[in-house]
Amino acid sequence: MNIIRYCGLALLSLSVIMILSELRPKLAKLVATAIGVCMITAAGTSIYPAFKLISEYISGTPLSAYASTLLKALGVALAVEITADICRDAGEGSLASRIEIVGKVELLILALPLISELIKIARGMFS
Amino acid sequence: MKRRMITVLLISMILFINMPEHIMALEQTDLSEIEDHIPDDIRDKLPENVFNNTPGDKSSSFSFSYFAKLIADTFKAALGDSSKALISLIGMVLLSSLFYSLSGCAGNSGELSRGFSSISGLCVCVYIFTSVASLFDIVYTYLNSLASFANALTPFITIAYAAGGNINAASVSSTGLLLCITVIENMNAYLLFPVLRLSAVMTIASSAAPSLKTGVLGRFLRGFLMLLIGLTVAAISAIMSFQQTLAASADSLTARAVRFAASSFIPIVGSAVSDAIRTVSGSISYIRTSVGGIGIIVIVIMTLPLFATLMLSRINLALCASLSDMLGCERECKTLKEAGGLVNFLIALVSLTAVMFIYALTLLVRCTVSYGA
Repeated sequence: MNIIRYCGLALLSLSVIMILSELRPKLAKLVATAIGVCMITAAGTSIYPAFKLISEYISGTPLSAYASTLLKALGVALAVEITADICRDAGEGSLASRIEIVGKVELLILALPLISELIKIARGMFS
Repeated sequence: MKRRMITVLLISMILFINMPEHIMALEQTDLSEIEDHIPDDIRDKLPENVFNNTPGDKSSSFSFSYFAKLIADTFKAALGDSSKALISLIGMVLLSSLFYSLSGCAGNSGELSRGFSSISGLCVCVYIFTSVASLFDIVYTYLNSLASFANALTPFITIAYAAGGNINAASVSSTGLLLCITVIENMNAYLLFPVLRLSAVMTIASSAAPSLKTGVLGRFLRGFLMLLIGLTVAAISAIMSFQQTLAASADSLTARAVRFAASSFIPIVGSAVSDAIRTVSGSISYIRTSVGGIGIIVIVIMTLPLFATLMLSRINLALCASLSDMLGCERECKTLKEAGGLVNFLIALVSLTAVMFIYALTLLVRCTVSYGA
């Protein structure tokens, strides 16, 4: 089972990082970051077929446009959160805050077409 | 003796002047002329030869099986589109729930989760209110067509009353119907739909941005409008009912007086004239019932498809609100409930308007011919 492998990998990584933090503390942080990114990438690769299946089912329906917006927003939220956590772990709290601001701006840009669509509906009611 | 002769002559003059007019009105009342004022798609749903057949055939045309088939076909036609809409709505709610639960894994920062929740809420809001906005246009068109049909039917109703000797009732009913039509047209154009659209926009704003809290004002506006419409419809129906009853009684009294005078003072043929008038009243009653009955059926056929669409939309929104509540999507649940409130109002509006016109036509059917009283 993949989950057992990921758990095993995480525990092994923890041991390596603990040893490295005694010997080379800066290297330990880099190794922790690299292993975290690898695990997230592996999880994303696992879940990709599921999202592809959902996209195939809803393509051609009115839901497809909304699903792509939601997927992009989810991607932005997760990517920004993980990056911000890595920055905080490395002791760069201000960098983490900056990346969160960028994430919020990105979410706002994704929301703009929806807001303009709502305004169009409201204006259409009065015309 | 002289006075008696003059009275007999006067009554004879009144009878022989007025009777031909009523009989001509009866002859000229051709039910097929009503057919021209009925929309084509409605005419196809009426029973065959409804404007031409005999009284016995007409009663069997509008049987229980006809109405059952009409209702079944209407709901069957509306169910197709409604099912697609329901499946799409359920899909939207499930997607929102799935992505929302995934975004909960985003960790410590609640702000990004809130940002994602806002986008999810906006997606649901846009999807729902696009379909609700289209329902507004359909209801507006329906109310205008109903008013146009009632406008076209008014002359036939007036003739049907006048042919039966109900002159006062004719003038009262045509005034009452024209009042209904004018009130509906003006209320639609200047009060009802502008305020309803304002309420809908407030609901949309409240759903898109929960911090605005304009939904309360939107609900108040809808409640106030519903009270206003209910009072207006009740008042118009009550006034029409009272006026019609009093006018019919007055007409009946006049006709009785004329028949008494005819049978008492006109020598030899007086009672025969009185009996002839009673015979004519049977035909007039049949025509009046036909006009009223056909009018009621046409209004029912016009209202049923829209009513089915609105009811099924309401059911869809209620089901999806329950589903989103179960899945923990509070914002989506609130949006669906607000949209359901708007559709509720449209259902009430359509029902009240149709009932008001059906009531006016029922008064026509129930009004007794003054000659036959």
